[in-house]
Amino acid sequence: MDKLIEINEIIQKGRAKIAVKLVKEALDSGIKADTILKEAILPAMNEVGIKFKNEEIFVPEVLIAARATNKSVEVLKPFLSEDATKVSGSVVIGTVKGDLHDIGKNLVRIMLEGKGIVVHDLGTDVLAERFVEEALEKNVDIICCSALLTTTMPEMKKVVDLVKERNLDFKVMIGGAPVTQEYCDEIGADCYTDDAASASEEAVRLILEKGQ
Amino acid sequence: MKKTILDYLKENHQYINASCNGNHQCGQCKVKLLNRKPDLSETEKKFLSHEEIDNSIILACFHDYQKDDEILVFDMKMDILDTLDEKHIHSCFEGNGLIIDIGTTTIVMKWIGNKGECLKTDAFINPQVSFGGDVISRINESKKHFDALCYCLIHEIEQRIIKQEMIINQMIVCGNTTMTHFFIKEKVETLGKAPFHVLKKEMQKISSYHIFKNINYEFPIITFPHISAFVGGDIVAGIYASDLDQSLKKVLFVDLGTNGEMVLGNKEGFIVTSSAAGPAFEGVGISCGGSSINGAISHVSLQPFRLEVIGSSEAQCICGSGLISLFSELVRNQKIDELGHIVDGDEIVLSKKVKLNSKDISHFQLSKAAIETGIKILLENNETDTLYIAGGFGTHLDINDLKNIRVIPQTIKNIKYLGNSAINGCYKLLMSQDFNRVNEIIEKSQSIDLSKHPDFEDTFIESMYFYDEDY
Repeated sequence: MDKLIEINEIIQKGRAKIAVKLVKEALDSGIKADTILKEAILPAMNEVGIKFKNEEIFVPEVLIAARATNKSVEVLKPFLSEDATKVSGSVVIGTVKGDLHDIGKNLVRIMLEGKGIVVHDLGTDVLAERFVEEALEKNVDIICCSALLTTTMPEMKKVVDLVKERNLDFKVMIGGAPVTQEYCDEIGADCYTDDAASASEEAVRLILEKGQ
Repeated sequence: MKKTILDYLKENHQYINASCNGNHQCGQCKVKLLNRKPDLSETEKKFLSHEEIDNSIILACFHDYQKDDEILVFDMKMDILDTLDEKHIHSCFEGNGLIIDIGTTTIVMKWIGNKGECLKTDAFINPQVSFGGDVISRINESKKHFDALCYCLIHEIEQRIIKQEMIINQMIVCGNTTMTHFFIKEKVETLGKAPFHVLKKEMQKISSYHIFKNINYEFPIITFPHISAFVGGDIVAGIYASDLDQSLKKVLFVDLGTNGEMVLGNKEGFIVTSSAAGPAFEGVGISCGGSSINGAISHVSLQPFRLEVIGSSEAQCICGSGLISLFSELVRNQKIDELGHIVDGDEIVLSKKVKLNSKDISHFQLSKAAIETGIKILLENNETDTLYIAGGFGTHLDINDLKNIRVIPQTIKNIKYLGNSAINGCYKLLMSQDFNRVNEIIEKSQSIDLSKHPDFEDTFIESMYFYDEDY
């Protein structure tokens, strides 16, 4: 269907207003909301993720494309079936206490959503306890913590420690500019990746592993 | 534990530039190792030219220190702006003064005679650069090395005071919030994370005995107060120096740097904010970027093609002002599209050595968007046609270039370059002794946190576009 290809392309280009218009047109022409989501919007974001990983596009374009996605999904939301919103896995994500940076976290959120994972975004400046409480309440698979400051990185350890202390079944993924694999090993987190696209792939892997 | 050559140098009070604080990322901590030739890793080689490798130049953070190592360090050089506006100043102060602007990267000291005349200027690199290039890395280092960070800063200043052999009657200090805290030996940790509480916000008046251990007479030291953790005494000094606090008209005041500070207001009061532009404006993170040193492209014209290079030598890199003029030209000649894609080819080639790729463009784009967002949010319910640009970097910027890349709005008609308004604010305060007026600036300033603004995300994304269109 041409309309779906068109939506896919316009989302990748980040044209939010045109994307919204096209999505409305597609709905009016009788295409199901689920189809638009699964066959146009999610593949577009997945494509953006791949291009980002291959360094064909960079952060600004991903953010612009994500805005087009968000605006399009808002239009679709009332028409989506329960089936479409039921997915294989879910996460809570947030930037740790003391840290107000959200671009990196948003990138990961976008990439995860592109993979069809449900993301509960807790925002920035999130207490370690809140990560865990929200994870319990939302019954997610993974807790994703972001820190962009060397001064706030230690907050990630608190999250890992809380999960261990309370013997909970969440995987903890960490990321952010100053974070390294060594740091991940040191604090005993389950996963670290150095870019948002790999983070989404690892999240899928962790969810599949858990399902087995 | 083993220590690197960089660690060894710091311990011995030899402070060399190390923006990334020994994380193998910036390639700046070059030294010459005279007694041995260690193996260089591939990562290290990327930062060094063939000539440098042949000349035994290494990066100090890559190698462990060995007993008997003979290390040659290079002087840190930089273009430091230190003009002083001495006109129209009526002196209310008798005696000799010392004024100082403590920047994250550079420090300017001036000795002022009893007629208000500048007797001597010292401008030098902040020795704390050995602990990292930006404020956050210094704060982080302070957890382990607080004393060392205070010591290197204070010691360097003290030595210069002693060398000058001039009795000082009063010292006026301004700096960003973190630097001022280090200078008065006050803890900085709260400045590094939300809610960014400032321990000593007020103007401080302290005895020189409290700061300097080797100066055998006493004089008062007065520090400029701060508005927030990110908008500090240097900006307050700038507001004071430019008489913004007496202006009837609303003025937009910006200081562009790694941390861009923005102020909007007049005698009624100010709203201030700051935006982490990242180091792209200083050429860091851009593959051919550099600071404003000899060989840096400082201005670009595409039609006809012409490059201005500092020191008129062969172009080696491009500095912040060069980048802004380049992007303005790229937009004007439609060589990039609204998202920053290169229209023709994969690279923007300026010279044999200086080229920009898509990744460089995206870095610049994020910096530009950060500043633009701050300005847009300040101007949300306000209008102004006047812009003051503070700081050394700002002096080299063209208003039309800034408009072309949309960093400043088209409504700006008047622009004033303030130069180093921080040191001028110190000078003015020394002369006027009008401490109340400076304190009033703080009282009528309101700080806003961009990231908590409801329109932040949308504004930020819109600001990444290079052209004004409706997307």
